[in-house]
Amino acid sequence: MMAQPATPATLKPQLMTDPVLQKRPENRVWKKFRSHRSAMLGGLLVGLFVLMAVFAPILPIPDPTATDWGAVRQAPSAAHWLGTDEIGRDVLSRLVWGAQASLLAGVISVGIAVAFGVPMGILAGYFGGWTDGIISRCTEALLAVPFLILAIALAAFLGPSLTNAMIAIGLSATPVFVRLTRGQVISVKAEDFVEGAHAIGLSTPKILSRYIFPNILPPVLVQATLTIATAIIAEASLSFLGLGQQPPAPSWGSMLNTAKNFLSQAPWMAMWPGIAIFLVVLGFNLLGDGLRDALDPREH
Amino acid sequence: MTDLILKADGLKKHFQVGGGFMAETKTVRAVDGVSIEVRRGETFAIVGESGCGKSTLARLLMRLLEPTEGAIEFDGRDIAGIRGRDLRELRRDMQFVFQDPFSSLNPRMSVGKLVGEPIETHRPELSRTQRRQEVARLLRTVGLRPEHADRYPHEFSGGQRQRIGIARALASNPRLVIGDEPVSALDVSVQAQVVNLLHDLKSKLDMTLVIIAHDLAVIRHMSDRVAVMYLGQVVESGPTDEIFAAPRHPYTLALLSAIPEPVHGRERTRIALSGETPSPASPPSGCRFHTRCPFAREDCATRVPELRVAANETRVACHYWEEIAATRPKAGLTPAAARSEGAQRRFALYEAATLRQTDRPETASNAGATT
Ligand SMILES: Nc1ncnc2c1ncn2[C@@H]1O[C@H](COP(=O)(O)OP(=O)(O)O)[C@@H](O)[C@H]1O
Ligand code: SF4
Ligand SMILES: [Mg+2]
Repeated sequence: MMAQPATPATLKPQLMTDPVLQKRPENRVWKKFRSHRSAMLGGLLVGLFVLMAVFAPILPIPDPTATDWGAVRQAPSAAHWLGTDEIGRDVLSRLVWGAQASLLAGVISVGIAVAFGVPMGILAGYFGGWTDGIISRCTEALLAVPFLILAIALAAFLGPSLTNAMIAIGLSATPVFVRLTRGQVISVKAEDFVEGAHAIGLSTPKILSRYIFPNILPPVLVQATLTIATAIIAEASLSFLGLGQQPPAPSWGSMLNTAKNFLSQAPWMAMWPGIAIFLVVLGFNLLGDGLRDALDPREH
Repeated sequence: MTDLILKADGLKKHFQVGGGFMAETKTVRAVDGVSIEVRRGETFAIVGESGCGKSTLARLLMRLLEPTEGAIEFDGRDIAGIRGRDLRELRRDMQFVFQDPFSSLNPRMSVGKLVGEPIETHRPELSRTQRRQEVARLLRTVGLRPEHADRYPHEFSGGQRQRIGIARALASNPRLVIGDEPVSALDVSVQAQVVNLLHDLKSKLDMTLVIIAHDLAVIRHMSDRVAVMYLGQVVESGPTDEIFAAPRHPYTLALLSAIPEPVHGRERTRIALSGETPSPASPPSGCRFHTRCPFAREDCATRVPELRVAANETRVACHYWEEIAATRPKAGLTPAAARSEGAQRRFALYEAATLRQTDRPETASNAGATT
């Protein structure tokens, strides 16, 4: 072990072999994510649907609500790539516009769940005591009801519309985030570095924002991605039941709802939205799993 | 010369554990009546086996934990129950270096942020640029490079992380730094460097250092006075040289026996400790050490020994230390004069490390050792 004195001559090469400085400042998370094949596939699927939803208005597709009584329940053809539905609307066009409803429902409802659930979880986990008592009891009560049942009940109560469906889904997904956040906060709170923050004399808001929040964020992000998948299914289910997107506006769930009456005559009507739901849900799940791995700072 | 910076009087911390459904609550007497006095400018060591309450004591002194009983004075002022501004000032003046450099740094903050945070908190008048300069200066002080400020803790080795921890502790210009086994989690090859760094900084920055260790070897060359703890209590305290030269409490004898250091021509009494350390939840009656003490007599199990003055500055909590001392050959090590070959070599290594780290951080050196 190095006994020679440090002269400038010996310092130079050591500077270059400094294991810390040598590493290029490449984003580690991104690098790990990129090498994760299924995560990339998930990202690709999600990206595709996002592009579809965003560019729906400028894509060269017919109006999704335009009926054509001369082309009712037509099988896929050159004119209608994915066929037409029971009143002659283009299925491809409805699928593309339906992506908007599905993604919006997924993202907004999860946004609602995160916006409510995470602060509640932080309060419960960090402060404990009666704050935790109240929040946890409410959460448990909500968790006792199955997610979809709760969403259906809320949507029925709020009235059928896409907005209300999103609120219903968001509220029913909230307990998951309260619970996850609370648990994460409790474990992060016990870390040495949080005690270190107290030792520095940091204020509670700063400890929460710099020490607690960034360290609970990765699992919350992963959970959010996975919950988007669940929320998309929930939206489709609510729309299927007539509690979500209202006709004639397209949504995959309501497309399935009508399609169920024509399963033998026009199977493509059910097939395409079914495939779309499957792919987007798969995409979000793969993405969530990939994020989970990429965001874990411990494993390499 | 008896200017005290930190004083604890009858400190106790009892944790209530268990007490769930059908379970009995147990009281863990982690710290059970500790009184210590730390003088301005000295290095004060607290030594004891793992689990004897050293970390708890350190957290009590730092006011990271509230004592169950007892008083703490910092700079002549009672710090129990202070809040707000006073507490902030205490946090500025008293800093802490953690045992585990892997868990004590926020993994999501860059080194620059970690070291800059105490500056931001306690010297808010500094501008961003001034703060960056200050961080660079601190990094250099602890043997890191200013360029390291943009990196994250996980990119560093254990020794380097501990240096980051030290830089962070120094950032608010504290007058007292408490190090809770600051090197016990590090590679042996790096331990000496970090110990030396702390020692150097202490004199350079005119601080007081309280250093916690689980064995006497680490603190031998750097501490002025030492308190030996057993099961939440101090069993012997005094000047380090004195304790090494003439250990009096049987537990101190045992700790010293654990250091492999034969003294020239003189056979040292070796005391191997038998049995497990009793739990602080149910400490033995009388003298807490009686279950493992080779010199224990019958009444040791019933009579509690008080800390009493043994020599001019040494205090011992044992009923029979005089008799024990009389029956055995001088057991301790005469400081420096009788330093064995092994000790000599280690000391040389410590010193060499000190010289090295002033112009060359361990970055390059321990890369070979750890990776
Ligand atoms: N928060 C706590 N709750 C319950 N028991 C604790 C707590 N902290 C420490 N202890 C107990 O107190 C005793 C002393 O612990 P500690 O101060 O960490 O010892 P040391 O640092 O000397 O190893 C141990 O028995 C430990 O289990
Ligand atoms: S009081 Fe008794 S048991 Fe305790 S250390 Fe002394 S001799 Fe041993
Ligand atoms: Mg400890």
